[in-house]
Amino acid sequence: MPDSPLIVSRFPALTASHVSRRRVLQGTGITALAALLGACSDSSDSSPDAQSTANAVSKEIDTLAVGFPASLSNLYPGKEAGIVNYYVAALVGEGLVAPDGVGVLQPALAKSWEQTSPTTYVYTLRDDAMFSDGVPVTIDDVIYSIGMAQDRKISPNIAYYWANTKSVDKTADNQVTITLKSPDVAFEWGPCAANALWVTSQEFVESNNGEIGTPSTLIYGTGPYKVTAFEPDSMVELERVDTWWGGSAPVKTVRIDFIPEEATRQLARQQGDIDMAINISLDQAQAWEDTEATSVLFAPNRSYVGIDFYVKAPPFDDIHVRRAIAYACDRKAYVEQLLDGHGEAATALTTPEQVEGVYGPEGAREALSVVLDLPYDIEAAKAELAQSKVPDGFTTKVGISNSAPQVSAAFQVLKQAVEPLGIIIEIDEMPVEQWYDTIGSKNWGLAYMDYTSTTGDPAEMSSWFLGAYGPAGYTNDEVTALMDKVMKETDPRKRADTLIEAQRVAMEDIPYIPLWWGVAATAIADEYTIEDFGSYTFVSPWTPRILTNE
Amino acid sequence: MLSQGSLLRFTLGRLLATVALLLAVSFIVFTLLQLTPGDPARNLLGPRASSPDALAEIRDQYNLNEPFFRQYLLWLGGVVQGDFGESIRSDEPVTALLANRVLLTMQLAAFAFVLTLLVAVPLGIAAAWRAGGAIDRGVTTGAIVGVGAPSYAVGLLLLYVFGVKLDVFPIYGSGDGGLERLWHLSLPAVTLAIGVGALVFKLTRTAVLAELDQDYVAFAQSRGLSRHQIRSMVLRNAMLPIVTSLGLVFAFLFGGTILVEVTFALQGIGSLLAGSVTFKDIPVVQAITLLTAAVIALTALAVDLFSFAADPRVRRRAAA
Repeated sequence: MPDSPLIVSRFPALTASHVSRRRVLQGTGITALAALLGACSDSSDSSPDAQSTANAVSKEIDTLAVGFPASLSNLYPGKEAGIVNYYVAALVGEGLVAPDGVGVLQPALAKSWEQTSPTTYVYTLRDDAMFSDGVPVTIDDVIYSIGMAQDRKISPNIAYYWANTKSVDKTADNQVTITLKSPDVAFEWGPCAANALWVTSQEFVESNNGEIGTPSTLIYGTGPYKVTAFEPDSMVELERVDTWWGGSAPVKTVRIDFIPEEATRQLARQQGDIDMAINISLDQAQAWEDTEATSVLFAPNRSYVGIDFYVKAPPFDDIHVRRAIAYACDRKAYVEQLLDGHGEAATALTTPEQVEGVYGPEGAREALSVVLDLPYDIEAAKAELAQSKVPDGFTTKVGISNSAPQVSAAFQVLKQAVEPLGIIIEIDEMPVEQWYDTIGSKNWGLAYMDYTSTTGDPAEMSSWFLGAYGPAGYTNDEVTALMDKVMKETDPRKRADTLIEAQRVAMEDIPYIPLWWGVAATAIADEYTIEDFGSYTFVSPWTPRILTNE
Repeated sequence: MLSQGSLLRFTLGRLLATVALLLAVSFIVFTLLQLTPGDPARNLLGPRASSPDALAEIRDQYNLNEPFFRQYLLWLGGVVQGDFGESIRSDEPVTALLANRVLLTMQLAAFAFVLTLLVAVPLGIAAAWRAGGAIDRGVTTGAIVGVGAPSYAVGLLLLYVFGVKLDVFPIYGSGDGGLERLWHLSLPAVTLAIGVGALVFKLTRTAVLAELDQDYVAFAQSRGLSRHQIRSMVLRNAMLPIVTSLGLVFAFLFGGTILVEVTFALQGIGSLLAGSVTFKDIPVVQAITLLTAAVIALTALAVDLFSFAADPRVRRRAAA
């Protein structure tokens, strides 16, 4: 069990009820939305946040002012796929499917879908799907939008997701069939607005000479809002529309300002200029909690922080060196002391939220603990190093993004822990873009990864980390064979079991050391709260989750 | 006396030198960007699975696979035809990306400049006129704080006092134009003006003091000229160093808005430059540095032309 009550998932174990929920949702309109929200709220959790929604109701809100920490320069996430791009896109556009509160895919523009063979997916368009001006969505629009998403020039950020697609065919007036080159269960997350598809119309794109998402073209979609104003890197304003199949959202106008400086964002909240600040900096969480009339909500966000070794670069080509460092990582202390408990010591590449659907919250943690759960033990680290090619230690460096203060702090602690062993770690702080260059580089034998999965697919990060271009440069035939099975296995339980086995086998060689699974925090005016605030809240239409406290 | 022809020759010569300077700046910045670590294609994809093919394709799209000199020449060829290329980060044409931002930064710099001019110069004159007096001591002490205080801290302090506590100015953003824009830019402009105003104050005070020490002042006093007459003589002579410093101040303001823009969430070229440098968004960085260099060079030219008009000694030197 995790130490912090805030980290315990508020979501009930996914059981057979989720299968039936999918059917319920195949209805339309607000009932479906209510079902979606309601189904996720039957949590028995008793954390303070969960309790605070008890007296909250869904009420008409004229304007919700939101402060984002990062800015957008294009509204189409294919062009610019920062996490905040997804938050805006989730209100304006839709894919064929969308995740619910616990990350189970639900119908969006498709009223239903079916996997008819290991490589074939058939989506049926809902009859009441309309664009924000009331024009009905056709299957041709869907096919055109998939074409845009596949195009590496138009959608450099998401095209890779469609690389395994063999064909996209109109198989009926309201049906599209997508055929893959080879089986890949994770593909289900492809046609999702939280990942790699936003349906727009061919006419709209062509009338704008192929441009999309810029201030002059804006974006045209099927979601509960339309964009009324957009100044790149400054603000975006959304207005509710009455054309969404899911009904009318309670918030009429959403005004989003991009305020990069955290202190300024706090002053803006203190002044009441913004009602909500999404993704606040965790090291400022206390300051936010101290801000007048403001509460902070925490939720796991499927993020992973861990060490990567480039296993071909000496001295990290020596398993004893890697294991020595693993023994010197005090993961529990990092979480308790550096993160103030806002996180959870990690034992695997997959986060618990990604497999809670099959194992339940406690079962997920238990299942993941078999991957790599070495205790903090400096004596054992010393013994391992003594067996290595560098028994007296060595000097190495690590590049850390200056936007990751907690990672930097963790490496400081690690540095002190291994110094008596003769291992000198030089910490080099750098802009985030330079840090990208350290990933998978032979010049940086010791590196780290801070990764937030976009999808709910438990294999998202593993297929990269344990695949051909993984940042550790690590290959193992047994692991490759297991990951192949993961790609093809359609039974969620068997798939998760195989995935965890692949990670366990790989981690015997310690190419990676999971450190912690992270949380995201959002500050919100006391007047409001967010229902079932969780890992998937902002990647599906999220304003219906904003409740007013009574 | 200087003929119109030699003034024209002087101006043309300076303009040609400016073009040469801009070429040199563009080449140096381009080289420096190549030397900094990081890969724009990698930055575009972010920390996620990326095959060497996908990276190569993005590099191809932005000519990043070409040899260094060819990359520079391709860029320069576009610029000569008025095409500054497209931002790697947002895929927008650089000219469109800069259009709105340049206006905002210009407005901010101009506002701060006017504030500096209206407050620091008169205070500098008054302080010099009564050197050692209460105004002099008070403002000089304040100026030391003004020069030393980081604009980031001053900005936050102003935000807290005038934005939050007194609630008279907005906390962030640039407003929708007109008076609202002016209102939004007030605190950022004051923040900028505090730093450079302190500098201008000190320069003005020094320039006026230096003139007051000249023999002609003592001579004028002994001849019984009125304070008003003496003051206009002194100010006219002190004007040249003051105007020169003001020219530099404007150029500095235009290129030095980064911290203030970030603090007040203003989307000018400063905040864009900061993001673009770390991203290695080469076309955007090139365009902004060129623009800033051009503003600095042209301001310097304007200051020199002003000296021509204002100071007969300069005219004589140029004619000789």
